[in-house]
Amino acid sequence: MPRESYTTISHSIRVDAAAVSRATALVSLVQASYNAYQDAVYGNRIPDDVDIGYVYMVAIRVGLNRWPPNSEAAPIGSRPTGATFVIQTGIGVHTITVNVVDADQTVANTIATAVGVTLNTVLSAALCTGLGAMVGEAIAKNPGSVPAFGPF
Amino acid sequence: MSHNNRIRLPGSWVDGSVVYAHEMEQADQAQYLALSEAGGTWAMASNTTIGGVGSAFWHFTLPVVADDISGHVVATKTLYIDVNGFFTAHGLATLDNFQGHITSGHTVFVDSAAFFWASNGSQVVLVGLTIVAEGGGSGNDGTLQIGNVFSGNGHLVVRAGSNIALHGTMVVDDDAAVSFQGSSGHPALLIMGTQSSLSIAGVANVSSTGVVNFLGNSFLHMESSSLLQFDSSAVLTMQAGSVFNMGASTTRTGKLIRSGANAHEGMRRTTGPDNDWTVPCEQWDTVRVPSTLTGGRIWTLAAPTDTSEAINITIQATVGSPGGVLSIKYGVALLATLQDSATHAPGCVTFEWDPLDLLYRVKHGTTEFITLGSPNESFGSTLKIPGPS
Repeated sequence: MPRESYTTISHSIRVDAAAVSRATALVSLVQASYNAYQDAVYGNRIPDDVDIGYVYMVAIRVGLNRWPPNSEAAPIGSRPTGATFVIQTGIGVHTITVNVVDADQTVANTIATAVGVTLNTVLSAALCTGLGAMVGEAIAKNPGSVPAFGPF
Repeated sequence: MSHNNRIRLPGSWVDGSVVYAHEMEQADQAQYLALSEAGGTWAMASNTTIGGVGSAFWHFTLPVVADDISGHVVATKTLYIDVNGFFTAHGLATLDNFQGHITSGHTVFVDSAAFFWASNGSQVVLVGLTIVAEGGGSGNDGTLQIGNVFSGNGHLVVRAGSNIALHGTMVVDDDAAVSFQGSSGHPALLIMGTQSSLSIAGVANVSSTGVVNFLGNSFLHMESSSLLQFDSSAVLTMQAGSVFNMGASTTRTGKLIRSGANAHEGMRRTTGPDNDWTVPCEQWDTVRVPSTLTGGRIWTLAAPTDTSEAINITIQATVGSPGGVLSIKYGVALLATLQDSATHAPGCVTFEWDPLDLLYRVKHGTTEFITLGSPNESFGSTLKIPGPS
């Protein structure tokens, strides 16, 4: 795992085969991006150690960014609704274990409470949506009503 | 939280990634909130901690104005004022539980018209410190003032075992006093050491219960023209066994009352020579005629040096045959004779100087008719006044 230290909580969430495929493809890209970050912040690098678990962790943050907590300052249609978290069928859906940064879990919990779904549903949607964003998949214009990917 | 949170975790900004509008909004807001080289005013919503576990310095090359600063130098940390730097406080500085040092070779200056002030109940303890109240410029005197600035009294307390050394003159000003306040078993002393002197140009009063003691071998020395005065009802008491030596003239305007068995007056007494003699009447009170005169003798009374004094001189014959006639004169005048007599008692005569007529008069004497009164008085020397007929 990269050199920063985070407080994380382990969760088991459901993803489809596409999400895993995107994550696998992102490992090398995330490593390259992380190395650039190390150069800027630390002036040196540690040996490459980005793995798919780290990609899952950072992707959840990216996915949660899709639904800004301060909806008044967010673009129109960004506020999540029940439609955002309708469980989708998907292909190759299965359960994986991810480490969620505590701050991200707090945000996810807030969304889950506001919308009335489970935390794992929000995390599943956040992970799949984040991975989609990181690989440059097009996303809906009004994410509040249509989830980009997931949840499963 | 030390600063704005990251929008994405490190490494998640990858090429080709979709960027949400809200992420850009967050980034924009973060730069809006950041301190700017252009300057401005920032109202922090909560405490701001600089440094944390780091060891970097904030280095200001411009003046820093802290309008409402409340700062702390925490334990084990030090605020340094470097060489040629200054710490200027125009307001009050409160030092709670403060312990400071002025290291060797450095000085705390209190400028003109400024004060170093220790309030009521406080203490300034000066260990091994020399205070110099040095003369200022323009001929001003240096002053160490024990204040009476307000209503209370100032005190300079010298603790047990400590000393005040004066190498100059101590001036006690108008209405001021130097007080020695001893207590039972703890006497306060003014000690005048060898070669020191106490000069009193004013009045020295000893209170009704005060005592001035002169210890062994000490003395009270009154120099020329000085005066030891006892006012009305004052008493000079010479205790039994003490000696009052008086080699100077005494003028007494009051009465002399003798009391007690030892209040007699010792007279000056001698035996005159078996020769004609000028009697030093001021030197002796009583002069005895030698027991045996080898011939007639003439003793002439000397006038007193101070002719205004009515001095007395007594000439006293020895019991027994004198062996010759003694004539007593003043100048050429014969005042009395002590004649050889076997039937009269030994003669005795007292003369007193007359300051007005400047001569000696017979004050009293034995009569020529006193006969021998006992077998032991087998011979006499009859007194005849003024002399033999």
